[in-house]
Amino acid sequence: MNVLVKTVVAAALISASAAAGASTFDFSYSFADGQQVTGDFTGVTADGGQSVTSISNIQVQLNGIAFAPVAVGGQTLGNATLQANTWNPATGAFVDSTPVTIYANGALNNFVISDVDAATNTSPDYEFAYLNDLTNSLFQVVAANFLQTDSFSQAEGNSTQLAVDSPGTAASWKLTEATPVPIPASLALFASGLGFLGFRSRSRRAA
Amino acid sequence: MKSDFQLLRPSKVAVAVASVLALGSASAFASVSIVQGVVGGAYFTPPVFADTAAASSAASTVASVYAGVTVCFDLNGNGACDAGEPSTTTSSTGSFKLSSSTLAPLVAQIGTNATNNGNPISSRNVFRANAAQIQAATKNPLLAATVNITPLSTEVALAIENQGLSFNQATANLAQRIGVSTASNVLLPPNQVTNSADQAAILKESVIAQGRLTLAAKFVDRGDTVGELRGNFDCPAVANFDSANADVCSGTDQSTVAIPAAQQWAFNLEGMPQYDYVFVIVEENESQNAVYGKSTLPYINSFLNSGNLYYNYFSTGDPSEPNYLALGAADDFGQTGDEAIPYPAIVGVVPNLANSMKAAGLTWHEYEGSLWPSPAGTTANAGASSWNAATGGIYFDNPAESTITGADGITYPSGVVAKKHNTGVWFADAVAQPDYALNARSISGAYGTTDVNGNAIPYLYPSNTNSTAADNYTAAGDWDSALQAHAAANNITSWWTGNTQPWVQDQFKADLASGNVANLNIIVPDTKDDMHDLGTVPRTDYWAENVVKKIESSAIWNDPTKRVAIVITFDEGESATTACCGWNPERTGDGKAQLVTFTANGTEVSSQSAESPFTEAYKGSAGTSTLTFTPPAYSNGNHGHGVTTFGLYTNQMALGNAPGGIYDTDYYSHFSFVRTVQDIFGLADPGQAGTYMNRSKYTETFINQNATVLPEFAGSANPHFDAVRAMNHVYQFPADVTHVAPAGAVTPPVTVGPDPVQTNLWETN
Repeated sequence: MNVLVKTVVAAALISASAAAGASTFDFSYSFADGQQVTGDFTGVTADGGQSVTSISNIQVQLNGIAFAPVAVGGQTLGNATLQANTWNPATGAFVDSTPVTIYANGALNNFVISDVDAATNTSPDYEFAYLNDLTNSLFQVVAANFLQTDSFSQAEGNSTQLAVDSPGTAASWKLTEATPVPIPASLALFASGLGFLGFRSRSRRAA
Repeated sequence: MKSDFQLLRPSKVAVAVASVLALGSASAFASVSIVQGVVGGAYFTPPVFADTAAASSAASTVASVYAGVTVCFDLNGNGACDAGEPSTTTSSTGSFKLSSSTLAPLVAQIGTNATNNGNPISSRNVFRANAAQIQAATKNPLLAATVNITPLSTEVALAIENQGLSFNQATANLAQRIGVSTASNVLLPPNQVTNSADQAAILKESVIAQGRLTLAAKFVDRGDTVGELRGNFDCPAVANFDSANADVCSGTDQSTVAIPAAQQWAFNLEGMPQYDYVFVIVEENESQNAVYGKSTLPYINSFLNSGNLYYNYFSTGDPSEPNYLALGAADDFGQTGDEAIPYPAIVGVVPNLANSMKAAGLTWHEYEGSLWPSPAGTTANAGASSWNAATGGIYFDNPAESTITGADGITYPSGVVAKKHNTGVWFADAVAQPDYALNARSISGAYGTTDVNGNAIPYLYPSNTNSTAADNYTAAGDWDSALQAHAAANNITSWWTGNTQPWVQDQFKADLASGNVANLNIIVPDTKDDMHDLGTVPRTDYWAENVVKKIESSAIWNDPTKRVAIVITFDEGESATTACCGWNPERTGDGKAQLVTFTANGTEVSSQSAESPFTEAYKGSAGTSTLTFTPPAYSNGNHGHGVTTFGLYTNQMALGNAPGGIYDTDYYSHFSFVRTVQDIFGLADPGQAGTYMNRSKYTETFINQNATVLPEFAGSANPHFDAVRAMNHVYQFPADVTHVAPAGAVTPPVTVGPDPVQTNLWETN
């Protein structure tokens, strides 16, 4: 079975299995300099299994350090709740009027996750932006935690965490469904779908 | 499209978590500024100067990146990375990324622990990027703006800061000025510029700017004062000098500067603005009062009147040779006559403008009128190793003004090219450079009797015999046309046997059209057109007019982003005796002047015997010889003779961006002009006297600091007039000084006290 057919079948199976409920998805992006963003969120697959929407409960770590509030001098900096916003190539700005979609194919992503509403607030304390804006030739992945430092930033002399790939590398992006919330009636179908995808994944690696 | 889902139950990627350190002073950002980029520039390998071609080599430049550089957001705008300012260090590829809560300029602090393409850095430097460059590159505050920090980004920052230009205008102007087709390319690290022509232009400018920016860092590190940087040598007044001659101090003359201001001064050394092109037309043997108001020289007079004038500009010797040596290197090297022949006259590695321009990544040309047959300007003749040594290895012409046999066995006429009328050919190390013949070029017609085919050359233009306006000259005349027609009619493709180079007799005209003129262009008419043989006849005026109008019609002149200057001066008056500025007119009676040389730092001195041939004295034996006699006391003063014409006209005057019709009555000389050229092109460091070549370093301060080894200046009636300074009009005459026109000079408009306008005559926009 060729790759295209396998992909279509797999996507259909996943979509069918999870369409009725939200799942938890894990993601990661490995920067060229070795830094890494990891995280998870709850969402619903869409687009034939190619993407996830209705995103909530976002957690992000940069080099293992969570995007989380920090208490400094009796003041708490950063919001505990992370938001996702979509990039609008037409306006060249982040917007919150449309649902955020995060794609499995990194080359399709145009979002930012931060502790602020990026559509109106340009001063996050932590952010993870992933852009593939063909219209404006903006291809960039940025992760920053302006409240934390680590060995990567220290090695560069930076006082806060900062990772930039420009352009980003789609192959360095991973999005995986971690804990689907199955509906009993479709559980068998869901399992078969996952099984087929596992087969496809192994086949692809073998190729 | 292939999905990147990697199901079914993947484990989370193990994260190598480094030690996490809590920030001690973290605070919420008011606005995020994220930048990434490269600190880049050029790596310049300077030429190797030696007496022989075999030991000489040309310069080379490659695109480079700077590793180990501290990059920071310059929150306080002092051009330095201070504690508390967000900073990072560039990688081995010169890259960096950095964030800040406050938008601020970027500074790249290049220390001696950094590297340039892996090469050590001997003197620290600072590059900058204006905050407007970050703003322009910022698509969204949450995204990283690509901002490269380079010598050219620093130039853009300086233009924004000091000319009030917008970022876009400053960038566009720089691109236009240096000839880059795509403006945004000037903000790329040179190694990322794919257009080869653009990259070449950017690399050249990067070398020039890096040199000046290195000076700026020195200004800061040494604590140089504004007074020093603007060339005010008597502020504060130097001990042992007549305080009545102390220059007027401004309120800031004793203050020091930070990097941003220091970088401005580095592009205005001693107050002399950077020029892109300087054309110097050197005429012959006429005092000022023989030229000013002369009815047969209407065009030259209109040039002098519409431009700016120096009323007390002195030659530095007599006859021609010492003056051309002085114009080429700010010294006559002991020459009092035309005895330094055959060429080259000055052996050893001796600082001279030709080589100093090249050492700074700049170019020079010397255009000789009626250079014929012209071996110059052609690759085939670069190095000229096959030419007759008796001619200096380069030229067929000879100062004895008799026929001469070239290496090809052909007998050539003497011609009207007086090769001694040349500022570069004297120096063995300049002639030995691989591209010397490419820089020694021709202008105007050719002189001779027959061409290579034995046919008589109809010297329609310029004639070597007539001396009137009817001499086939027209104001708009193109003197190449007659010779071109002759060449076409006689199937001449070159002027000497076996040469296959294309016929370009008036290389000056071709160079103006192509933009291949040099940064410094010395233009010497032949002996008919330079007033040497014929005096102030109309043809000399037409010749000058023709050259000036060619420049004025060129693209470079009419480009407002470029700074172009034309100088008309003379080597000396018709009966020069002594000279002004930095030179002892006393002689021992043997025709040899006292020679004193200094090490590079200007403090260690070695005196050379006046009895030694000057060629021996300058063989790099500084510190090994001793004086054999006591120089006579300086008593005559030297401002009474040798005054000649120096007129300046610039394209910025023509564009209305700079004042015209003003004058300067301070005392200058060929030595002063060479110092001025060094400032204009950034060849020397005002804070380090020894970096100025030869006698151009003889400022009041320098003479005073070295008084014990410069006895010829002891007892000077007025040290200001003996000293050298840039032609920057800094000196302000005391109110009670009465101006007296020296012999050969015209009386300046001001008769008492300071000039009515104290503006630098070279000032531009």
